[in-house]
Amino acid sequence: MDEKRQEEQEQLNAFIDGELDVEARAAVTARAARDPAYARELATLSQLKAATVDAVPVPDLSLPPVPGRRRRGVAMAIAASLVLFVAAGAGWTVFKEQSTVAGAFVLDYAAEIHRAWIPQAPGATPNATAHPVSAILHPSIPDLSANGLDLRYVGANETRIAKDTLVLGYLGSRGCRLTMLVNRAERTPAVKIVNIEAGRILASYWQAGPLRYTLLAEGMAQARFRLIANIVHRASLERLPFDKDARTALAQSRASSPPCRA
Amino acid sequence: MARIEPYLGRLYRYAFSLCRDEDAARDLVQQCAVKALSARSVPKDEVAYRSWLFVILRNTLFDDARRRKSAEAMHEAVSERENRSSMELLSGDERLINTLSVKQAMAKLGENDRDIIGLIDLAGLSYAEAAGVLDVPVGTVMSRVSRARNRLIALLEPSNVTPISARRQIR
Repeated sequence: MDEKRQEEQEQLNAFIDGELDVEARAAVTARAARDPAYARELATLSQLKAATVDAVPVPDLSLPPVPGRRRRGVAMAIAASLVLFVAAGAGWTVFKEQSTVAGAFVLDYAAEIHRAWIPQAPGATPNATAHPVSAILHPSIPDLSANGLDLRYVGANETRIAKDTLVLGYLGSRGCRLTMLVNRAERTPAVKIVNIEAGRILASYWQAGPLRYTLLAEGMAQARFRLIANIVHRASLERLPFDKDARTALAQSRASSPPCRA
Repeated sequence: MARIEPYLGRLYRYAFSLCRDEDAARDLVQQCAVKALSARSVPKDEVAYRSWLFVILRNTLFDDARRRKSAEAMHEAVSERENRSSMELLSGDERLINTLSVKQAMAKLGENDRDIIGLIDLAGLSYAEAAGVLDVPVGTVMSRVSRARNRLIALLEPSNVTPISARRQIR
């Protein structure tokens, strides 16, 4: 099928799906009025769509019972453990076992958000200005494009522990997906970055001024993730954009890393 | 009413397009609902929330398939007519387009074709929403929809419609 014919087909399908603008709809309607074969094709596609919808009747569906959620008290106790652990000067720490309380907490809620966000279409620029936390991010939302990761999602999710968490979703062209969560948190002394590894999940978190940062990726090469985390960590503490050395390091890391494992 | 309730029907239709089995589709919707209802955080925006539900359902199905090492074909159905336009296919003989024939034909489509028709026709998502769920450009959604419907129409040609046995009763 030639390209022109393919475009014509796509336009017909978009017409019956209600995806054309007013002008394009008028053009299709006008052509259908003077071209019987075109009108027949339009009618057939319309009939097909209607029959497809009717081909799957919906049975009676009821909501399933929901497993009990953790009580607020338990979650707060875990959060308290997290703060105490970090303030005790744990510094650079790697949790190898998911059963560790603080690590399990971060992995639990952060991993869920990481898997849930849906990227905007390529080329669209997510709007971060509306979120109150983004206004105080220093110096701005981290730009990871040097590492082949484009910002493709900006949203706000309410978590049990941190209300109004800013969610930044980054997507690479080779299957890599990285999530950054930023939320206001109790002001504590600036703490060193805490790193977590559990199976395919890599996570890092730290406090920088009034903000808590959590970074998470799945299936990414560890060295690449650690580099990204260290650079973002330093930039958040120094309140400066990435310098040239940082951008070079990000680019080199991406070039030398394998694609993320699915 | 739980926030997910208005979407259960659409989720079921989409699940059916992927599973081709009523019980499996029902189970899939139930699993999706459990995950959505027990999630600690959900998108605030309604459009984002709707898309999020379909991503959960889709991921649940593919995770299940990977775990079971499903042998179901993942590639497109091959049709010697796939390069012909629907206009060529439709000229001349009448096509048998009704719910039964379409249901039969859908079952023969490849998974990718059923996926896109499921999202647009059965789930009622817009092209932009489907693009978000599939993580592809809107233009890709447009071409996939067009090609999938072409293949569906090709399967509806009289020679491809499976006649119902005389012994079966139509309810």
